[in-house]
Amino acid sequence: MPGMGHGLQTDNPTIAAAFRAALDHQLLVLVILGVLLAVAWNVARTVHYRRAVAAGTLDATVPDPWAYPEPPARRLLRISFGLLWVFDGLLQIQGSMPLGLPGSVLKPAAASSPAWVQHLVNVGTTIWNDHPVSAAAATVWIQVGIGVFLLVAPRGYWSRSAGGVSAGWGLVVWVFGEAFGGIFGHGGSWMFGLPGAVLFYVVAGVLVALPDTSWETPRLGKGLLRAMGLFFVGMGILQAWPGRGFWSGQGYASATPGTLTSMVRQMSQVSQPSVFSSWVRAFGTFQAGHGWLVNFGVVVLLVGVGACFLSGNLRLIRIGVAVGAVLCLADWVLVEDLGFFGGVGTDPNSMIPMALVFTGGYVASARLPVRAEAGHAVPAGAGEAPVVGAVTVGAVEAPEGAVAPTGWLDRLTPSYLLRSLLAVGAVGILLVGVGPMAVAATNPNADPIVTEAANGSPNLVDVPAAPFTLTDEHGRTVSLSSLAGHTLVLTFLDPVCTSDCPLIAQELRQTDQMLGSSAGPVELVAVVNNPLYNSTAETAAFDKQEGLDLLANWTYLTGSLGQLHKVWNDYGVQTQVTPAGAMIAHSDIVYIIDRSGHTREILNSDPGNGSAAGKSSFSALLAGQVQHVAHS
Amino acid sequence: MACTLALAAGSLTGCSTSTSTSTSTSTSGTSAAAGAGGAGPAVPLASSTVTASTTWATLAMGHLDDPFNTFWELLALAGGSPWQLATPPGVASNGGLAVTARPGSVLAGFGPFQDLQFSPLADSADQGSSWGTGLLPAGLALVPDALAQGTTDSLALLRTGGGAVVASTGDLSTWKPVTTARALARVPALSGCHIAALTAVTLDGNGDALVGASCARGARAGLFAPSSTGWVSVGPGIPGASGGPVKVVRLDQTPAGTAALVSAGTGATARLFGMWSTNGLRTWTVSDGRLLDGAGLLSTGVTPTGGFVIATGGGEAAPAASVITPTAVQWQALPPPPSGTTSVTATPAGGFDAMVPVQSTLSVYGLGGQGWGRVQQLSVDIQYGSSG
Repeated sequence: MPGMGHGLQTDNPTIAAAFRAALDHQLLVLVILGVLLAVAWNVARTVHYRRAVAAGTLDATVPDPWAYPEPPARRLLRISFGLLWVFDGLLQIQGSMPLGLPGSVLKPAAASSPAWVQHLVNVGTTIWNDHPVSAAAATVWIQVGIGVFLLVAPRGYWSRSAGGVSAGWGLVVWVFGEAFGGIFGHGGSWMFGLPGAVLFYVVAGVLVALPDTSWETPRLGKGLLRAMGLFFVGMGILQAWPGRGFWSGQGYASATPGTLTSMVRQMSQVSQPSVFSSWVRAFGTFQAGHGWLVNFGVVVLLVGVGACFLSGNLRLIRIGVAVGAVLCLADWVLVEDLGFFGGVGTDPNSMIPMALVFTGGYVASARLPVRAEAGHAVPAGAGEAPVVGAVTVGAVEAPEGAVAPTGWLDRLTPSYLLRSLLAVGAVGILLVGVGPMAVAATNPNADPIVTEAANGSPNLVDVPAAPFTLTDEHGRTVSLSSLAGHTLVLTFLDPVCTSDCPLIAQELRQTDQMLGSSAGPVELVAVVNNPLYNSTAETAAFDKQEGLDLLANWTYLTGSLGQLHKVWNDYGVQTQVTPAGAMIAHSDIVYIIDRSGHTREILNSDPGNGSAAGKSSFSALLAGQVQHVAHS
Repeated sequence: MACTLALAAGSLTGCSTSTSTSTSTSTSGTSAAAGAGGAGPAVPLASSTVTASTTWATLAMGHLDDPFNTFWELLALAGGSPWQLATPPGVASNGGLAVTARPGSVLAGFGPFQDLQFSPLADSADQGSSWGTGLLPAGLALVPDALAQGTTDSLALLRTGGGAVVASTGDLSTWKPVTTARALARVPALSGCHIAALTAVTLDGNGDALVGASCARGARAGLFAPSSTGWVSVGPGIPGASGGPVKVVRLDQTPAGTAALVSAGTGATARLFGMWSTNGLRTWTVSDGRLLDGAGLLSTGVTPTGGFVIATGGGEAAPAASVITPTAVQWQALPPPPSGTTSVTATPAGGFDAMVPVQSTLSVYGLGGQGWGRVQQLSVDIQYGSSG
C-alpha cells in the first residue's frame, strides 16, 4: 500500500526510453531531410551541368563571390565553437539529462544568486521539469544544429546568421542554465568558471556574426584583447580578495578546508576515469598544503596575462596568450576536471572557450585577412572578378564563342550550392530542436510521461463498475446509477489526510480545468477512505479546504461503515488504521468509468513528493484519458 | 553548462534541491501558534492533566529533528496499571495534540499539519478504548489548554488571528464563535493587558468560559470572563510584576478550584506563578514566583490536588522539575529528573513520573525515596515515513 511516493530517479527507465525514442524519431526526420537535401543537391548539379554545357561554359572558371579566404581569426572562432557546440549537443544525449539537469545543474548554479536570478532560473527549470523528454531532446538538436551551422556555412549571410543564432542560444543558456554564470552570486571564481562558460560562446557568436569588414583592421582584435585583459585583471583581483577562503588550503586535518581545497576534493569524487581523478586528487593534496602559494601564483598569472593583453604590444600579447593558454589548460584539468564528467556534464566548462576567445583576439590583431593585407579591395558583383589594386583575381574565362551565363543558377558555383544546402540542413537540425522546445515552453501543462514514469501507465480494462449508494456532503443520496450518462472520475480520499489526498484533490481540480468545456459531462467523484473520520461534516470541511465546494461537478461521498467497506472491497481499495499517530494508510487510485457504467481505466494516483511537475503531469494524463474514454 | 562545478558550488553554499509541499509543521515541545504569541517563555505542548483516576499526558516521540517523523502521542496512566498508549487513531499527529479530561471522558484535538488545515477531534468515554470524532472549522491553537470540556459544552481555542474561542453544545462538529483576541483587545476594560494572543480556555463550575491570554504589558494575569456588561478581567495581580509580559500557561478546573499557571517577565528574570480561585474568580491565592533562570519550559502538568508540576531545561541545560501545591506558597524542587526527560507528570496517586522518549521507545522513571528509578519501558509502533 503506498504511503508517500518518491521523486523520480535520474535514471528512470521510462523517461530514459522515451528520451531515446524521441531522439531516434527526430534523427529519422533529419535523415529524411538529409535525403531530400541530397536529392536537391543532385538535381541542382544536374541542371547546372546541363546549362553550362548548353552555354559552352562547362570548363569556365566561375569566380567565387568570396575570392578572399575567410579572416583567420573568424575561421578559428567559427570552427572551434562549431565543434564545441556539436560536442556539447552530443553530451546532452546522456540518459540522466531529462531528470538530472534541473536538480543537479540548474538549481545549484543559481543557489547563491539573488532571488530574482533564482526566479528566472526557476522559469527554465519549471519548463524542463514539466517536459523533461522534449526539453532534453530539443537541447541536443539545437546545440548540434548550431555547431553544424557554424561549420558548414563559412561565409556570407548564412555564416553570420549562424553566429547570431549561436549568440542568441548562448544567451538563453547563460541566463536560464548558468544563472548569469554566477556573477550575481557569491563565492564565484575564475578558477571555477566565472563568469560562465557559455558567455564566451556568446562572444564568439557575436564576433562570427560581424561582417567581414570588421576583421580587416587590427582594431577588432585589439579591442577584444583589451576586454580580455580587463577581464583577467579583474579576475585576478577577485581571486586575491581576502575573506573568500582562497588563500588557505587545509593546514592540518581538523582545520576547515579552504574554498579551493573543498572544490577540488569534490571534483575528485565525481565519477570519472581514475587517471583524471588521480590528477585532481594530487593537485588537491598539493593545494591543501600550499594554499597560499597556489593562490598567489594564480593571482600573479591572471594579472600578468591581463596586463599583457592590455599592453597592446604584440610580443607581450603573444606571451600572454601562451601563458594564458597554459593556465587555462591547467585549471581545466586540475580544477574544472574537464567539466563534463558526472553523468550530467553539459560542456567542458569555461577554460577552453575562454582560451579560444583570447587566441582569436590575438589572431585578429596579428593576422589580417588576405584582402586587407593586399590593399583596398573593390567589392565584386556576381559574375565579376574582384579587383585588388592591379591584380585581377579569379577572372571568368569563357571559351571562344561561348555564351555568358545569364541565369541565377549559372552564377552560383557548385560549392556555394552545396554550402547553402548544408546550411539549410543545419537549420533543419535547429528547427527539429526549436520546435519542440517552443511547444514545451508555451505549454503550461506537464507531460503525462512524468507521472507515467512514477506511477506506470494507465491500466486499460472494460468491466462493469461495481454499484454503490452513498451520501454526498449535503446529505443527498448518490448512486452509481444516478450518475449514468456521465464519464466518472472516481477516487478514494481521506478527509483528514495531511498530504496525498489534498494533493490528489488538487490534481482532480486541475484536470477539470484542463478539460475545459469538455468537463460538462464529466463527474469527479470521491469516496471517503477513512473508517473513523467519515461524516458529512468532515467531507464538507475537506471540500472547503481544497476549494472543491465551488466545483459544480465534484461530489464527495460517504456512508455508513458497512456501505464504505463494501465500496472499498468492490473497488479493491485497501484501507488500514495505523497506530501511534499515523494517518490512515490507503490506496491512491483513480477509476475512469464511462457513460454506460463500465470501468475503462485504472490509474495509480500516488502524488509522490507532490512536485508541481508531477501534479501537472498527472492532471494532464488524467484529462487525456478522460477525453479518450468520453469519446470512445 | 559548467555543470559539475555548479553542483559542487551548490553543495558549498548549502543548496537544497528537495521539494516539499508542507505548509505548516509542528515544532516539537513548543507551541507554534497562539500560545507563542508575545514575549515570555514559550508554552510547551508537552503536558499532562489528571482526573480522579487517570493521568493523561501528551509528548512528542520519533525523530524529533524531523517534523514529518515527529508524532505526538497520548498516554494514559490509570490507577494500578502501567502507562498505555492512547493516541486516538485515524489522523496524523505530527501537528501536535491537545487534550482535556474530566472524570469519565477525554477530548483530544489534532494540530494542523502539511495540507490539513482544520483540526479533527476525538473524544472517548471509556479511557481511550474507543473514540468518537468531531472537527474544528479551523486549526487548533497548539497550547495544552486549547480545549475545555464541561458536562454538555465544549470550548476550543483556534489559532486564527492571535486566537479565537469557539463553543459547541454536544456535537463536536458544530461550533459557534465566542470571542477573539482582536475583539477582547478592543474592550476598554481589558486594555491594560495589551493582548498579544489567547493562550488557554476553560469552563468554570457554572459552565461559563474563562479565557487566558498573553499580555504584552501589565501587572495582572490575563484572565478574562464574560459578564452581564461584557468581558471583564478577573486575573489577580502578579507580585513584583513591573509591567512586563504576562502569559497564562495553564488554565484548568481542579479540585482546588480554578487553577492557572502564569509566567511573568522574560529571559533570565521570567518567573512562574501558580494561582487558584475557589470563590468564582472573586479572589485568588497566588504562589511565590519560581525563577526560570533562563531555562526553557519542557512540560507542564496538573497534579491531583490541583497544583502544577513543571519540567525545565532544554539545550545545554540539564532537566529540572518543580511542583507547587494550592496550599503551599513556595515551589518545591524535585530531584533532577534523568537526562533526556521531556516531560514530568503527576500520577493519580500523587507521585511523579519523568518521561524520556528516545525515538520509538519511552522510558518512564518514577520518583521514589531513592530518587528516580525506571518503572516502565514502552515501545511505540511509530510509522516512520507515513506522513511523507
